[in-house]
Amino acid sequence: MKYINNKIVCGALSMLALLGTTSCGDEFLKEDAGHKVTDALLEDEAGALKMAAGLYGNIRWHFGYEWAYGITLYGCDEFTNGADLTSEPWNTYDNRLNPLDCTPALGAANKNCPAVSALWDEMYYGIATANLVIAKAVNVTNEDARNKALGEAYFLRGYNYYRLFAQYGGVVIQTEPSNGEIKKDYTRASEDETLSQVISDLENAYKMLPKNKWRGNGTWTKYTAAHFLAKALLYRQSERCASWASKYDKSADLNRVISLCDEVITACPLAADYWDLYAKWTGVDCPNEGLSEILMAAEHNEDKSTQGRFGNRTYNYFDPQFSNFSGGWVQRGQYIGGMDFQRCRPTEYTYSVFDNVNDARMWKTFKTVYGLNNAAKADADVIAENGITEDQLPNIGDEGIIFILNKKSDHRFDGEPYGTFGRGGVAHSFVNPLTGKWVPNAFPTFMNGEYVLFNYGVSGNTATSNVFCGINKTADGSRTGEKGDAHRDVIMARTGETYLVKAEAQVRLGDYQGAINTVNVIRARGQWKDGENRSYYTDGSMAFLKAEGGMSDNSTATATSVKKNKDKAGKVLNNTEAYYASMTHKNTYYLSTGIEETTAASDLQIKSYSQLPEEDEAVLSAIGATSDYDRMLNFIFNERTRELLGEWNRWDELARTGLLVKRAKAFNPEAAPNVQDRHMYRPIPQKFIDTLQNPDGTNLSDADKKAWQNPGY
Amino acid sequence: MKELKMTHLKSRCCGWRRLLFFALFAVCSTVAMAQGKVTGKVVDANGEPVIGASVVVKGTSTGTVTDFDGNYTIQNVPQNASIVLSYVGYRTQTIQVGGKSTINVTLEEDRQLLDEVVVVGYGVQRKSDVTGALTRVGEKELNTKPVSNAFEALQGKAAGVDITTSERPGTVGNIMIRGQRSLGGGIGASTAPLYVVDGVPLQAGGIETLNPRDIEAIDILKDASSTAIFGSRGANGVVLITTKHGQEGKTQLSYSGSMTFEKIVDKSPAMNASDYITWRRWAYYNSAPDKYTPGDQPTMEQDKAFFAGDETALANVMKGWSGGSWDGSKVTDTDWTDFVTQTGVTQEHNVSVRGGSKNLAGYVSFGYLKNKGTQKGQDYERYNINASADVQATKWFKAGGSINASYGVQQYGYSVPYGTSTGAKELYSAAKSILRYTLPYDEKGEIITQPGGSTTNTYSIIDEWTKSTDQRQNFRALGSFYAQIDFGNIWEPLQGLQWKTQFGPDFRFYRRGNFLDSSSISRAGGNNSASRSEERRFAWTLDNMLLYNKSFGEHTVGLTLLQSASKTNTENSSMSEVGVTIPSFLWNNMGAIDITDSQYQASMGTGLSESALSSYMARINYSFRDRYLLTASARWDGSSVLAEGNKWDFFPSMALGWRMEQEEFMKNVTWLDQLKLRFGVGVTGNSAVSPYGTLGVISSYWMPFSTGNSEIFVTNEPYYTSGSNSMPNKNLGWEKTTQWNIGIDFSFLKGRIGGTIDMYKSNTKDLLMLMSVPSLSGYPSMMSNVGKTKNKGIEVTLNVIPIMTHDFMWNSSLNFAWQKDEIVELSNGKEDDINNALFIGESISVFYGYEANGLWQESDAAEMAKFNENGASFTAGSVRPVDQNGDYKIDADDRVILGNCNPRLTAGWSNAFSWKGIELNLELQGRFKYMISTGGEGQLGMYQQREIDYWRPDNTGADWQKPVYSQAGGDPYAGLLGFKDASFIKVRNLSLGYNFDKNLLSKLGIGLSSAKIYVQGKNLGMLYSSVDFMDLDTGATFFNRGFTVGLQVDF
Repeated sequence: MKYINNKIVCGALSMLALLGTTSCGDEFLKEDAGHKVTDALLEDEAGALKMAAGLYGNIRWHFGYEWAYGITLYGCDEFTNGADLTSEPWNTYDNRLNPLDCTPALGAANKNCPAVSALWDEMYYGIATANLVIAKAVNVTNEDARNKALGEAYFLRGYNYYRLFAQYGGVVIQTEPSNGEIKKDYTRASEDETLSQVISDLENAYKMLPKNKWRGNGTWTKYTAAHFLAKALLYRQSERCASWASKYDKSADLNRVISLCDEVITACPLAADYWDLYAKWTGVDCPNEGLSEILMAAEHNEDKSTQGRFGNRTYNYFDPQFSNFSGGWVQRGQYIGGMDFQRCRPTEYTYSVFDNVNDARMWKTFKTVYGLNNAAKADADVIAENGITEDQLPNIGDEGIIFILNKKSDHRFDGEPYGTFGRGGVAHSFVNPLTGKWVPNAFPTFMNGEYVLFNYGVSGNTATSNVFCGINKTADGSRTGEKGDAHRDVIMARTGETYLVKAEAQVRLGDYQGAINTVNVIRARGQWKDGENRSYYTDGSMAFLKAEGGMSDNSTATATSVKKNKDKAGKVLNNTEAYYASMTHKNTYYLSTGIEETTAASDLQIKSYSQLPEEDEAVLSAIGATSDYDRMLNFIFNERTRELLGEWNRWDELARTGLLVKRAKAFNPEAAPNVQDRHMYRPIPQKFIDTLQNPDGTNLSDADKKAWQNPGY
Repeated sequence: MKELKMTHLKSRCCGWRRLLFFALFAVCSTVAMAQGKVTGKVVDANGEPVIGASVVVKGTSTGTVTDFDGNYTIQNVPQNASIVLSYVGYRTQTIQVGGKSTINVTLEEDRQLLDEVVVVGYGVQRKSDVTGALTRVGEKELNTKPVSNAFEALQGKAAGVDITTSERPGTVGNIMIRGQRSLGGGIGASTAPLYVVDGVPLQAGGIETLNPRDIEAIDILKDASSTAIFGSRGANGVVLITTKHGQEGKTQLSYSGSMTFEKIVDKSPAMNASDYITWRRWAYYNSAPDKYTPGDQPTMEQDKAFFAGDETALANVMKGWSGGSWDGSKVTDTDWTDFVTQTGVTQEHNVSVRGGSKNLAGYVSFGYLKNKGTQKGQDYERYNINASADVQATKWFKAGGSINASYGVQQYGYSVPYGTSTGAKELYSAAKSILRYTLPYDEKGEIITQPGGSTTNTYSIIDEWTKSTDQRQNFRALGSFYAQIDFGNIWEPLQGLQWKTQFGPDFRFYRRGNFLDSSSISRAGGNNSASRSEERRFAWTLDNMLLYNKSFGEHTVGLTLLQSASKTNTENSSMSEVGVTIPSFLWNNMGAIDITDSQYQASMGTGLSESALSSYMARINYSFRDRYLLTASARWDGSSVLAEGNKWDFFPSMALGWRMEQEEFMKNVTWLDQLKLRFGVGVTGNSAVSPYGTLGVISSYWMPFSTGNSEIFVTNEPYYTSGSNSMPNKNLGWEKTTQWNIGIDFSFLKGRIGGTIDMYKSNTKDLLMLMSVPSLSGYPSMMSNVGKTKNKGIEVTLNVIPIMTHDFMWNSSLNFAWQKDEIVELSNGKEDDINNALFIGESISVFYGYEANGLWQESDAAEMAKFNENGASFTAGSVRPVDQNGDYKIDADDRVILGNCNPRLTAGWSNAFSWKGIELNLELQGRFKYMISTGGEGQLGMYQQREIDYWRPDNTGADWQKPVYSQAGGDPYAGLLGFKDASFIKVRNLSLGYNFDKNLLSKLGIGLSSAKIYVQGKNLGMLYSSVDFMDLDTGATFFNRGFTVGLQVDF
């Protein structure tokens, strides 16, 4: 018995001892990351190529959130803030725009205010990926594939350094992967060195990228690189680089700009009609997203797998807050392509700089009419409160909101002869003389020779008006919920801009007439065509329905919304009915201009640089541009507004030419009190400076830290 | 391989148990022959019968236990035999039968044995021998009130253990022991303590799934000399839970049950319609004073514009003008919360059976909880089963185990505000945010979906509880199995040597199903959506221990050797889609759509996470003359989540104790029962960081090209995910804390006054911290061993019995703890880390920002002008931040540390009054000297507002700034007024119970041995609170208040 017991005990002991040895070996504590994506995968060809494709993921970031407009459109001459103050410091340049990320604790309206470190970090993430691709490209054996990957990596690195350079000036240049080594001592490159890095990367990309869009729409080609190389060289000869760029031959740079632009212009011709680019967006991956004019675009589609955190959020930023001010007459929903987050409110300058009669681009860009999609008030009350007659009552599908884009010199509305203007909640009597119907929300831009549009906002404060006429470049009818994300591509570069880059290079070379000739090409496209219906309007909302030209019916087309839209009988509209009610396909062209109906072609051609259009002359005199060079440079920027309004680079361009302060002071009343020269550079993020150390591991002194910062911050 | 072995072991264990049961029954029924019958009565020193005492014929298995009156009868006792009488807590007596047929015995209490036994790591100790700082909360204290989890039972009971409250059924508050040392909060190692249930460290969740009625005791190890035994996991304290097991003695059947009725109480109700209307008018006025009239001078025309957008609501506002001049009382006031609240009813039932003989003891319990929430749509149901058995198979082999299983189904209720991460997370808040001047139905009786119009982005909550389904199921099974061999019972010279193997599996399965109907406000006109996600966790720990305990004269030695391995494995999966064709499918038929069609937005994901820990430990306990005590331990831990080469580390500890009352010179101090000095020091570790952090993980996503989607690799791409990959740290090692503790335990006047005082000081180095690195590396941060913190504190526990008469007794227990933590160094040495609000020389969690100095007033015009010249836009009635450096610019240089987030002082005070059968319990708990951020009042004039005292020209002394009508923005410094100093004393429990007279019960003849009924108030309120509009305990402005009636009976 005892023997057996001993046997059992010994057996148990040795078994446990065995357990012990196996479980505590190194193997037991080894982590197996076989199911994870690790950097080990970059060591083979497939992995390296996937990382090259990953570079494209980096540029989608720009349109995912508030920084899309905050760092590119705010604080300039074209847009100011609406009633939403999420990104206000970027528009007003007040104290909150400083090296620290602006959070609610530091006075931000909410946590969505773009951080000063956001672009900085994001650009370096892209650069780090590019550095890895360049380092790992040796693993790609196929030469063609390797060159494509390298070309893309050089392009993105060049592009990201360009964006860093434009915002911050000289930055840290990192061209090697970190390889797991933590580095904390960096030196800041000069502006010259930084821009040289941009140019050298883009030169490499220009050499290595193919000419065709082999990945499909969005592929970076030789011409994408050429366009940005031209912009980088133009930058070197622009005002912000004046203090150091004299060592580079001006005419060599600028002539190179012109030849690169010509190469792009030839290979990537303009779209036939201006609204093919934006207004005629008919659905996810629609044919217009493949236009030859599009040189670079952040790609989106409706697949859940590609959506990311933000999707494309740009549809939020340009509409006025119609759901708020309209008195319930115009409800929002996915059947209207834009959400009314009212971030970007055009300034008086923006409305004024267009020739509203002859420039079709204005009417293909601004959304001047929202259809009445909800019977908000009983007829009897409408008649009683607004003093109108029964036959003037509007119905579903009539005009719910109109903006009259008239001129300062237009006196037709002085004294409000067609009834008083106003928004939905305020009694007013405006009856559209062209339709004979009372319009629940009707706003002129100018009255009595004064800019009045900003007077109608709900808060009553003209600095935060939520009533304005917005632009349609981001409207998207493929969204499947009121706040559903958008799926359209965002154009980041197109040949239309290439013309303006070329024209500016010509201005800088003193070839003013050449510049006018170049600009005349895009102005020609901006003219009304013979036989064109000038009062027809459409925008990307049309993707909502196949019958409207959309690629397919929206999956929520037959759904009933949350009962916000009702007709006069109290019947709830489904989304299709709400779409038809909202989309009138009409603009206010004739009401705004007062001209007789016509289908003749219009003429926007400029004969001579000494005879600029009156809209331009008004701007030039407002900012006191008198020399030919100043006049022509500012003219180019006026034309940029007309051609490229809201296309995500206004701040970079104004800072480049030193026009930022002057034009913001003149045209952006919210920016005017604070903007000054130091604002031509953004503050270096404190968050970055705080991570730095000296080579010996000691901390930077306060003086060292100050030296990292841009002047004035 | 490992797991296979474990399950095998488990099944074998169950097999053993079944076999032993049968064997025992067989033995019991066959033993019967020989001589006389012995009867008798067993009483204690007071003459009270001792129930369940064991009476055994020495050297045989013949025996019995005493009945309810202390009587026993044994058949067939040989004339020359001896009988052995024993009972827990009494000295065992052996009596010669010597032919007697009646043997009455008076058992004497054994002082030595009565000394409470406490659980320490890997074993138990007599409390008088303990050298570390620990607190025990026993069954009696745990059961003074019905609680839904063990945390609630612990609140306020143990000095230095700070527990916050969570009100949502099925969730628990936070626990922190002796303050904060690690950074926690996503930027460093976790601050959570280690939970050990019946010797098994938990790795698949906490103790929230345990049925609190199954808990025998909770021991909390606080100082490092006692937690170092758990090495790498002991840094934040250890909570040891002992569940109920069977014990030798009378079989006991118990039932306890309670019903709780609750309603929501709101400490800061929304403004009523009339007040709100006035407030919004002020907001408009303040936005454009040149355009609008002041809020107290309304005009009907203005009101039509101010309240436009919803005709029904506007008509309601206009009712206020019906008499020609404004009369706000005529406006119908809709309290939207009325639609979503209900009386919450919770019922809880527990049945348990506990008993055992000398060789076999068992415990089985079943618990059921059903909680209908106070908000519509919230519901929780839980089943608990606990079974344990301990078997003494031979005199040298013992085995046993327990399984704790729980299954809960939670109807979470409304949880997903559409398209925003900032909206209300529960129905009550959603209802509270709807404008009160609006009406739920229009004149045709239809629901108005956006009350107030589309201005505020708030939607009606009517019927919402039927349109949004969020169901969460949770299954947890926690096991603890052991086998032990007592070598001394095999071979005498090995007396005191034991082997013990313990295995603890921990399994959890969680499933969440969510369906939002297209008519739900949270879909706002989109398609319906369905999602289903699961998480399965399995963890196990295997401990092999060799134990040796022996006394040599005046020396007593205990030795413990341990080898341990543990592993966790977590798998998760999720899927989602929109546009479910038939809504009744919910999430249960997700394949019914065409998953390749992008309109359905189908997505899926799976994940796996594994980690392992391997350890060796040795401990020695030594005592000399029962008065000089020494404990020393050493533990080596290896963790898989740390970098190769840094996985292993060493954690030693040492503690000394001196039982002064045992000294000769103290013997004649009669009023002194106990006086013990303790000193301990130890090193503990923390490696609570995520797995794979050292391996160079990058991310893969999809990129849409018009030719199709391409898989892409990137190091970090914030566009795709908010969680960034950290730079792999190939040198990541342990965070280590060294702690010193000095303590004193005392007891005077025969236990009338007793208590403990502990003082401690700890230093933490190699702090695990997500260190910011320059983004040039491609990464925002890297988990690193940087920085140091220190922490000190004092804890006092006092137990007194101020009154003790024959019928009346007052037991009072007071504890309080003061602690202060401090950052010594950070990633850049003695440099503040402002981004993470970490400051050298300050507490770890602080609020940092601008200080508010009330509001600007008209009289400050000159001062305001100086600021406004520098770009500010201050006006009278707006918040006045403090310009610390006096440069008339409010910028980053003006930020200061406002206060610390963790309380400096926590306290609890329990009182039990008993008079005859009546018991009154009063428990108070307090947290003092900390700061909270209530967020301030945005006052944008457009959203519903809680009732507040706001600034007006005729009310300049207001608490809050003036409202300004604005979409987003308002007063940029509004949040500063939200920082509040916090301190409170809460009535945690007030209950009244009645214990029925035992004699009366026995006369009933149904075997009832005790019965108690009680009634208890729940969340009765605060005795003191520094913030009046918030329950500082729950951190919410509203909470549930109610009462419970309950019954406890034992058979």
